[in-house]
Amino acid sequence: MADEINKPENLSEVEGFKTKSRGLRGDLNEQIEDRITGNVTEYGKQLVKFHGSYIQDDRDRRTEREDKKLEWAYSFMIRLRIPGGDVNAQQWLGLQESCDTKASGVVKITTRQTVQFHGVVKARMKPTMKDFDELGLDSIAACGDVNRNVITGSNPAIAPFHAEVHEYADKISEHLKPRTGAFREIWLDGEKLPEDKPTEEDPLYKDHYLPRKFKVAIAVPPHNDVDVYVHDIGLIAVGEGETLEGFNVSIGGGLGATHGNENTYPRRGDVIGFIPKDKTLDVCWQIVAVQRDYGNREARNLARLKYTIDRLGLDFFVGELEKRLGYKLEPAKKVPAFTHRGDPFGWVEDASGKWYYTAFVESGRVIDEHGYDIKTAMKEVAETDICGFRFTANQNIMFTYVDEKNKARLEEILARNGITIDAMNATRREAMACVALPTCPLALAEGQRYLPEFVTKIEDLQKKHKILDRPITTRITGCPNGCGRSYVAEIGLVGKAAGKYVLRLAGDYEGERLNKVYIEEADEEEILKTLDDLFGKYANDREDGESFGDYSERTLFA
Amino acid sequence: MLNKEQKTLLEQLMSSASHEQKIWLAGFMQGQIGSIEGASAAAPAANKPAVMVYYATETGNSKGLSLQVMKAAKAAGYKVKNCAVNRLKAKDIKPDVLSIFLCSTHGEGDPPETAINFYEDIKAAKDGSLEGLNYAVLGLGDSSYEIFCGFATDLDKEFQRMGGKPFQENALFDVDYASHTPSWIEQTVKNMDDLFGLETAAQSVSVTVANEQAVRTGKGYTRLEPIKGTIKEIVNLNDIDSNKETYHIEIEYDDDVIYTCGDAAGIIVPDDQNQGDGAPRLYSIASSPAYHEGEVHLTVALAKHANDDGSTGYGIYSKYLADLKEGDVIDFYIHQNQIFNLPSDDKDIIMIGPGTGIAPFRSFVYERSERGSEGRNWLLFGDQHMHCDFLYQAEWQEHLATDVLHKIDLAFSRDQDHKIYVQDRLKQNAKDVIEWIDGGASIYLCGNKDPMSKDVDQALIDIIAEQKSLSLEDAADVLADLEENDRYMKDVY
Repeated sequence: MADEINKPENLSEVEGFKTKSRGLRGDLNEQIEDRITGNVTEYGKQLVKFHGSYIQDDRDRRTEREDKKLEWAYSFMIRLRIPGGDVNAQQWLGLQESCDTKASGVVKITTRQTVQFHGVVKARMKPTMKDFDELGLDSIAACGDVNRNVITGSNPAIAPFHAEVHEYADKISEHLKPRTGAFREIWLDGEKLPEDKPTEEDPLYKDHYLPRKFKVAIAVPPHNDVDVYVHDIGLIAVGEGETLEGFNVSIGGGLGATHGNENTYPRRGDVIGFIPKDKTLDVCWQIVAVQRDYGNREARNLARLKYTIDRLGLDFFVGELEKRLGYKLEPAKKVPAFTHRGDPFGWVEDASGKWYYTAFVESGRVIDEHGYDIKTAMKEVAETDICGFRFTANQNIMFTYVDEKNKARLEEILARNGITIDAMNATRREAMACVALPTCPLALAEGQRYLPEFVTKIEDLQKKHKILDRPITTRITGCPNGCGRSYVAEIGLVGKAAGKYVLRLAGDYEGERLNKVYIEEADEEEILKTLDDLFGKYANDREDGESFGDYSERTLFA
Repeated sequence: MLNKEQKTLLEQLMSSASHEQKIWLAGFMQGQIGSIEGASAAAPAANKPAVMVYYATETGNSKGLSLQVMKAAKAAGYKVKNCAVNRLKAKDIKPDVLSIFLCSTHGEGDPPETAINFYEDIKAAKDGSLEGLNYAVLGLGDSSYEIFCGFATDLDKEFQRMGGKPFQENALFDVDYASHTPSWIEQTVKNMDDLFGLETAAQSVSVTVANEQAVRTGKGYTRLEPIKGTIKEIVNLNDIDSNKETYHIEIEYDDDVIYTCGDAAGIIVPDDQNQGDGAPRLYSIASSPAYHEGEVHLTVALAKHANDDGSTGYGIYSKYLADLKEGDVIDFYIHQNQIFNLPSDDKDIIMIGPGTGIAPFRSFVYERSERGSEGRNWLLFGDQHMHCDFLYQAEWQEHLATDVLHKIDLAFSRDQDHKIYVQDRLKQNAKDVIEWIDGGASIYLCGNKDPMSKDVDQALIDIIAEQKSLSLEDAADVLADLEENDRYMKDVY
C-alpha cells in the first residue's frame, strides 16, 4: 500500500540524492579528491553522513579565516560504528594515535557508545579511514538515514546474562548494515564499481534507504543508562536466573523537535510486546522495513518512526509488522523497574568473576585537564594490555574483563593520573551535553563547553540548600534535535539562541518520563534564579526519598 | 597652390566642419607633413652600414633599451637588428658588423640567467677570433651590490682579448639608468657616424617611446627616488598548523606612480633596522593597477632559519615587512619588469606560481577580470597543506565561480604520503598544456629558481617531447623559442 503522502513530486531533495547515489557512491570520491575547497556540495554533505561523517566548520574562526582570505575552516567529524562500545586495548591506542596525528587530538566519547573525531580536514579523510580499517574498525552508517550505532547497557554486574545481551548490539548492527561496497571503494581505494554495473543488492535499504535516522538501544533492567524509551527501537532484556529469554520491544521513541513547530515533539516509545531472543534480528529488520515503506519522505523533520506511528496509529503499525513477520507478538513480560541511569563508577564484578572499572570522562572528552589526566591514564592502561575498553552511553570509559590479579596495577595507573571516583559529586558525574559550538552546524547555543561551568553553579545551589544527598540529572543540548538527551533529564536545557535555553523540568531520575517546558526561553541568570527558588522549596517540602524531578512533576505540573 | 577642384572640395569641407573637426584637421595635416618629411630623412639609409644590438636581459630592461637604440639608429639611417644572447654563440658574432651589447647584471656581477651559456661560450673562444670587430658595451646594474655591472666589465675584457675594438668607453648605469640612456644613445649614434666618417643628421635624435612598455623614470621608479606608502592592511595568510608565515601586505600611496602587472616593488628598510644592508629588496606585486587602484599589495614569506644557539633567526627584509602594523609608513619604489607582462586580452595564459610565486598571478587575474579579457586563465599553485597554506584561496574560488579563472590545478606536497608538486600537475595535464600552447597561450612561471623553476622547465620539455613526438633536444628548442618570443616568461628568484 503506497502512502498518499510520498508522491514522487513531493519528495524531499535528500530522497533524490539517495536514489541517484548508486549505493551511496555519488561523486563523493571526486569531491574528496578535489583540493579547491575543503567543503563538499549539498549532495556530498548528505552522502558523507552515511559513511559516518559530517562536514563542519569552526564557527569561532569564520572571521579570522575570512581575514586570511581563506574559506571557512571546514573539517569533517568522523563517528565510528562500535556496537555496544567495545574496543580492545590495541584499538584504543590506534584510535588515539590517529586522532593525535590526523584530527583535533581530542577523542570524544558519544552518548551512542562510540567515539568521534573532530577536525579531520579533507586531505586526511582517507588516511584516517585507513587507520580505522587497519584497526578492524569502520564508520559505516554511523550517521545518515540508516540504522545508527547500536547501544546497550554497559554494566555487566546487573544480570548474569548481561554478556549475552551485549552481543546483540553487534548482531543487530551487522544485520541492519547497508550492503553497499561504497565505503571500501571510496575510503580504502578499493576496486571501483564500473558505471554500467548494477549496485549491490540491499534487501533492507534498497536504493532509497530510510526516511530518516534510526536508532536501536538495548537496556538491562534495572539499569537504564541507554535511555531505552527514547530510541526508535528499545529492547528491554527479559531473563530468568542466568538465562536471557528475549526482549520487551519499545518502538517510536525519539527526542528531536523543531523550535516553533508544534508538529514536532520528543516522544516516549510504546512497548508493543515481547519477542523471544531468536526472533530479535527478524523483528528489528521488519520494524525498519515498515518504517522504510511508510515513513514520511517529504518533510525530514516529520520522518522519524515516532511520527509514522502517530500518523498511522500504533495498531496499524503493529498490524503491518505482524503481517510481515507472519506471527503475533507476545504480550510484554514483567521486568524489574528501572531505578537509575548513571554509570557504576569504580569496580563491579560480573557473573564469571571478571572485574570492570568505570572512570568518569567529563562530556566524554578524552583530555588531560586540571590534574585529571584521563587521556594519559587510558593510554597507559592500554599499554599494559590487561583489559578491554567500553564506551558507556553516559560518555564514560569502562575498563573491562580485568582479572582479579591485575586490579591493583590498573588502580595504580589511575591514581597516578588523578583518576579517582570521589573527584566529582554525583550530579557532575551524571551530567551530559552534546558537542554543539563551535563545530556542530546545527547548534544554536553552547553545549559541552558550557556544561562544566553550569554544573558548578548547580552544585553551589545544591550546597546552599543542603540537597547534595542525591544527584540531579542535568543535561544540556545545543539545539532541539536533542543529542544531549535533555528531554529525559530532571533539569534539561535545550539551546534556542546564544546564551538562551528552553528550561525543561520534571523528568524523572530513572528516565521513564519526559520532562516538560517550564520556561520557553531563559538566560543563565533567570535559570539559576528559578532553580535557586525551586531548590529552596524542594529542600523544605520534599517527601522521603523524593527526587527533584518527581518533586517538580508533583508541584509544578500536577 | 590648390587647383579649382581642390579649392572647391576644401571650401565644402570647411563650411560643413565643426570647430572640433577643424582643430582635428589641423593636427591631421601637421601629422601628414611630418610623416612625409620623416620618410625623406630616412632616405640615405642605403649607404649606411649594418648594426647589431645584442641584449642580455634579466627583467627586460636591456631588451626595452635595445628597442630604443634600434629606433635611434634606424632614424640615423643604419640597417639595424636586435638579438637576444640566449642562444648566441661566439662564432655568430660577425666581426665586420658593428655590435652594441646591452648587458644586465645578476646578483654579484654575474650574467643574467639568459646569458650564462653565451658567456661560457665567449670565455672558451680563441684569442683574436673577433679581430676587426667594432663594439660598444653598456652595463645595467645596481650600485648597492659590491660588484657593480660585473658582467658588462667582464664581457668587455673578453672582447678585447678576442681582438675586438671598443669604439667608445663602457657605460655602466645604476638603477636610475633610464634618466641617462637617452643622451648615451644620442652620443653612441654620433660616435658611430664618426667611426664611419658619416655626417650626423642635423636634427637631434629624440628617443621617446610612446607605447605602454616605455620605461618610466623619475620619482617612484628607482631606489634612489622612493615614495612613501602607508600600510592599509597586513595579515598572515597561513593558518594554524602551517610551517610558514606568508604576509599579505596592502600599501596605499598618493604619488602619481604607475605600475603594470608583473612589476615588483622595491622595499627600502630604514637604516636603523637594516643591519648595514641598505640595498632594497624586490617583491613581485600582487595587486592589479586597474582593480586595486592606488595600492600595491605584496605577498611576503617570512624567511626563518635556525641560529647556532638554536634560536630562530629571520630575514632582515621579510621580518621588517612582517612586523609592520596598519598605519605604518614605508619607503618603496616600482621596479619595472619589461618581460613579465600580460599578453593581449584575447590570449590564453598559463600561470605557474607555487608558494609566494602566486603574487604576480593574483595581479594578472584581477587585472584581466577588471579588463574583461576574453583569453582563458589557468593557474597552477602548490604549497605544503591545503587547509592552512592555500594562499588567497577564497579569492581563487570567487574567480572560478565568476568564470574569470578557467582552470586551476593544485599540488599540496604534504597532504599525502608521496610529495606532489606543480610540475607533476603539469604532466598530468600534458594534453591541455599543448592545446593551450598551440592556441597561442603564454606561460608564466614565478617562484623559487632552484629547484622549482628547473623542474618546471624539465616538465615542459618532457611534455612537448612526448605530446609532439620530438627528441628532448628538439623539445628544448621549442621551449627556448617560446621563451625567446616572450611566450614563456619567468620571474624566478
